[in-house]
Amino acid sequence: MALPKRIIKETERLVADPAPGITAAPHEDNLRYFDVTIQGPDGSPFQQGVFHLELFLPEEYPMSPPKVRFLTKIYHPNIDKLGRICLDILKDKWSPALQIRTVLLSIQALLSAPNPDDPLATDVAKHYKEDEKDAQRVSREWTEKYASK
Amino acid sequence: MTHDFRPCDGLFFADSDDEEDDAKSTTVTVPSQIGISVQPASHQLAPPSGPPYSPQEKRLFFADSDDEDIPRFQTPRPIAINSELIMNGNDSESDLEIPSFEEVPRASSVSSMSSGPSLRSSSPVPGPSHEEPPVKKRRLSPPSKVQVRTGPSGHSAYLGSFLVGNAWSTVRGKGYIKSGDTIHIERDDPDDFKSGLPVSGKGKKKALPGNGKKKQLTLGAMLKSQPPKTTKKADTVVRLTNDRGFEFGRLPQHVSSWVSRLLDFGIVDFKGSTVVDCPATLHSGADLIVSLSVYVRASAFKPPSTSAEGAPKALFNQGQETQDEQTLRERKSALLSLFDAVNLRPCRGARVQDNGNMENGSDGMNNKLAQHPGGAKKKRIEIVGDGEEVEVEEAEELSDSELDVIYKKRFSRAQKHDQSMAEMDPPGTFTLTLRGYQKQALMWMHSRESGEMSAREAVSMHPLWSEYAFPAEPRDGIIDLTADEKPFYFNPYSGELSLDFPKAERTLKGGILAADSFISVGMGKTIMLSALIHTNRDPEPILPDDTSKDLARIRQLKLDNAFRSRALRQTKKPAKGPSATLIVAPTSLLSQWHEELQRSSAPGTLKVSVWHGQNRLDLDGIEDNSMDDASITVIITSYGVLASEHSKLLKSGGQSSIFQVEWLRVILDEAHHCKSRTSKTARAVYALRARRRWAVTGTPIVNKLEDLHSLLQFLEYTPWSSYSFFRSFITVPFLARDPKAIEIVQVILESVLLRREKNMRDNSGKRIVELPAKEVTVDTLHFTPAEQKIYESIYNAAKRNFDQLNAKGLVGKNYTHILAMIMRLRQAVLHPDLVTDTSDGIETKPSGHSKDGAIDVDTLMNDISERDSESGSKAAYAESVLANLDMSNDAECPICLDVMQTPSIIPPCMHQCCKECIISYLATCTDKGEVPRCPTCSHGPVKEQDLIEVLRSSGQDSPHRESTGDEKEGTSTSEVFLRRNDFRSSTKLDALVQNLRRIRDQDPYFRAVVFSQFTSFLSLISVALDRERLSWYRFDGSMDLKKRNAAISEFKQNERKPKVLIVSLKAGGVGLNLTSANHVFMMDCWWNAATENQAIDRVHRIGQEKTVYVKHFIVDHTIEGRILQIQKRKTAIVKEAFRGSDKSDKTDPESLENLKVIFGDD
Repeated sequence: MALPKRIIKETERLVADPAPGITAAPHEDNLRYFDVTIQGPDGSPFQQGVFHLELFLPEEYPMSPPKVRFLTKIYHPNIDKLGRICLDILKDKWSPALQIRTVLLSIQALLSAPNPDDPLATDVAKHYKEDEKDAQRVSREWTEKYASK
Repeated sequence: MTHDFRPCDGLFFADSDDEEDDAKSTTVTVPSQIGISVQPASHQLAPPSGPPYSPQEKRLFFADSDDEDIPRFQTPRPIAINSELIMNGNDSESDLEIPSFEEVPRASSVSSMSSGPSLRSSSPVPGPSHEEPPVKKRRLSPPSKVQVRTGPSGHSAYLGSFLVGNAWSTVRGKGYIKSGDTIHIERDDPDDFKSGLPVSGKGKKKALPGNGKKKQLTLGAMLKSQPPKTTKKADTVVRLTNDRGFEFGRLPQHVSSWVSRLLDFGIVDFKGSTVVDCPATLHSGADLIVSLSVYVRASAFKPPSTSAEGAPKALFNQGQETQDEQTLRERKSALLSLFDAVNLRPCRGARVQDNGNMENGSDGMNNKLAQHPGGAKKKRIEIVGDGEEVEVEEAEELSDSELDVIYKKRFSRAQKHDQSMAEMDPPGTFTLTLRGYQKQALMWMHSRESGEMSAREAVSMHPLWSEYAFPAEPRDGIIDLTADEKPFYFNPYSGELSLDFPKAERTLKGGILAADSFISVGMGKTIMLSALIHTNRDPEPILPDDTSKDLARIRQLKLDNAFRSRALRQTKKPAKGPSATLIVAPTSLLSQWHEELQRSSAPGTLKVSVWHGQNRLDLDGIEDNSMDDASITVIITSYGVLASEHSKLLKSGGQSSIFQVEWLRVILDEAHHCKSRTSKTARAVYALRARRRWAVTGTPIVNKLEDLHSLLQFLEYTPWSSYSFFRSFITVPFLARDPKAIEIVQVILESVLLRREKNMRDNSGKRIVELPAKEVTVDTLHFTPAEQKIYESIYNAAKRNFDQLNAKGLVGKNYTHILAMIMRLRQAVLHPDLVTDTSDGIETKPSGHSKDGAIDVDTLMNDISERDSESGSKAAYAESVLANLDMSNDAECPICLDVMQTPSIIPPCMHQCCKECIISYLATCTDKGEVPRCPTCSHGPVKEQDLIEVLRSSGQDSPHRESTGDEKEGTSTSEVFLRRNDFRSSTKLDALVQNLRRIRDQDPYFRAVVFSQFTSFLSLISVALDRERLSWYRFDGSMDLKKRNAAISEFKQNERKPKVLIVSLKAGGVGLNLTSANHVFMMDCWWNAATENQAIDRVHRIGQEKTVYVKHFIVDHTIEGRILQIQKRKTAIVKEAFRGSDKSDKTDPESLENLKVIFGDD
């Protein structure tokens, strides 16, 4: 099936006018599949890290949300060992008015503001809740270990 | 017949009488066409009363003389002949002296059906031409019941010679014959044979059975795969005798089988036959080579009978073959064999198959049929050119190519004449100007009505006849006047021979006006016929016998009314004959006829009334009225009225004035309405009494040759108006793949049909009609996801259903059911609401609000202000949205990221999306069980029907909207208006609406016509048009005549606003004149393209001045694409489907194929 005009438009815009700290490039053989990098936001334990993600636009997109997953290991209460992300707009709060760019910006924001009250990785969330400083330390270690450039 | 031949007496006295021959003791029975002519037993020694020859006569045919008893040439016969006759006539015993005469061996042998003499030569064998009557005939059989006409006797004409290589000797010894000897060919007398057939034996008196009973083969039976019968026990012995009268040999069986017939029937004589080669000493069974020269007797000829009165009548009386018929058939076969043997070929006309003999012919037919097992109902698929599949039906259905062939003749011959046909100007009472071709048509019609032949010289030969030329007789010393090729004529179907040219008959007054079936009418036929009415306005005289005939008919029709009718007629009788014209047309065209007739007539010259509806007057008075003043009475009525009047008439005691009146002229418009001869309509039409009859139709042959028959029956075009005749000579041969059938049809058409096409050219090479261009485009559309889902669910269910039935082989039984499923699919393509119930709250009809769903922006603003207190910021945004509506016309839809084509505002947050996007999103939410909400702010729930569409119209549009005044303006700028989204559109509707918008931008006062087959869809279209604020007019079959007329005339009215006419394809596909429009939209596709084209021609026809734009909407990957495939395949399953339910249990395999196309995988 031909690529919807919207996806083409979004891709063009992502390439022409990328969001700061975010890159997204479609695979040549599958234009619905994007290689994504997000720089850890300054002031977060993920600062200096470059996280690789994969993003896939399902057939129903934009009526259904894109599927996004961290490929880089990350110590974050809302991201599990498999890289799955707990983010409402990727689930029931999805709206077709959102775009790839807004999704990635949201994820970037999620890195700045972990939400241990709505956890996906329960042990990490527990760690964050009980001893945030120590947990941030682990996050920094992981960033250094797995996400350094 | 005469059998005496003088060296120079090659004369036919077509008028000489048999009786006289008898008197000369040459008795011959001459079968005439119908039956066997039988003479009373002749008195052999009666004084010769009229020897039809005289030495000084040249070879002449007096083809036209037909008095039978002209007593000229009463020269007494040479005594020698008489004496010989006497000698020969003694008794049959006298021959017994011939040694070793083998009576038994082959005389009773079965006549085989072998296809011709093994040796044949057309080279003339010079021989003594002379003296002895080689044959003498005695008429011995009693008169048969059918005594048609005793063929004139006379001399014989040379037909040709042929060699028989394997004649065989019946004697032993020397001295009987030697090479070069003249021999005689003789038949036994059928004296002792109790055959009813009048068989005239040769003068020699061998008494042997004259013939036997051939197995009866009716025409129909012959065409079926009946093997040739070989069980005939007919006596076919043909004896060869020498000059002394001794039999020395016989003809081989395959020759004697037909030679015996020819001799028996007295068709030919063999004269001057010689032995070419023979052994010096004969022994029984020795091979003889003999040359036979054939002379056809004058008495074999008679004037051609071209009507049903003649032989054909007997022929088509299928089922039982009378003896007469058998005789005829044998005669025909024998003649064909003879022509074959002497290598005589028709110069023109009916083709004789190469193997000539009709019984061999039936072999050929059998072979042909064998190649197509199952016979008639076969179709094959041919791949042509670009790989397109073309289906050629081999059955009664005519393929296009066959139709082409049928019409080809018209192009090649008749139309050549047509081009140069004289023109005729209409009288002054006709107020319009005719084009050149119309004047020609008028000339043609006028001459057909007045019976003059000038318009198109009808020199066509009767289709059943063919022309032969007499070959030159190769004799020295003879002035061979036959060198200039005297023709004679032979009817290979009936076996008739004639010297007179058999003209294709043309007695009817009237004909068929046809237009090309695919380009169709629009040729101004109404005008042409109006001109004809004005031109031939004089009443016809009352024929003396007419009244009585009428009375008889009336009496027959309604006994109890007879008295009154007679009275009526008596009052009228002194006055004029019929002068009124009756026009029968489809209901939808009645008013058009009325208007056109009025328009084309000077005031007061034509009194036109529509005889329709409840207030049908008694028509009895019209003939009286018409003589009061100078005006012509024209009554227009519909097929429906006619049929119901007719059934009223048939009821006992019923009466109907329309059948009482004798019309001067009856015109059937769209005459294919009565193509089924058994339908009520057709029977009603046949019952009309008229002097002149015209049928107007675009498709004289819709899909069967028999369609034509109904027209011919209406026209009373004998003999073809007789169904059995038509069937015998056209349908059945056509089914047997005999090209002759097509030829016959061509000749019929040539004589009665005037065909005009838009692209025909006149004699100066210009097209007779110049029409503006027609641009046809097909818009391939794609479903919205929601529509796709609905369609697919229906499709899958239908396919499952079909596959199951197919697997069980029950498709045929459930045909109707499957068609219903297909119908649903076709509707699903148009609009989901046509197939789903609308209980989901969205109504297809706007309720409550104004019909175009308009909303006032101020009201909306007020609503928002009221909520200000609650949510100030949102309201502010909303207000700004509304305020900016008219400027922000390039806003991007947040969902598709494209400029919004049809922005929709989501209340109350006033966010905007494309209508399509937001509807699709709301549907997704509902599917997922989520609350439908605004994609931008997640406000919910949002109902689809709450959405507000923002419509922007171009400035050009405003004047009209102001002028109509009944529409609310959305904003003060008049550029933008809002409307409630309480109508669910569809892909096709959207496409239509968008096209109409685009057209309106270019042409604010456009006129468009929209066709659909489904009236329910027409209703949806009308709603969509309402919402576009377009004026629309509707025309469909459910409306009564008055409403239809009103719709059309309002649509045509000249107003400064765009107008759309929505028409049901079936009701409005024919006849209407909609040239005021130049845009056509075909919303769905019909099974055959011809119907669609005819609809398009409502617009693209004479009077159209602009380019016509035609747009077909097709949704991709749906049943529509497959319907197009079937259109191409040119066989619609509907043919079977709508033809009748009787087919339900045996479905044509082809229909099944078509169904598989529908349900096949791409």
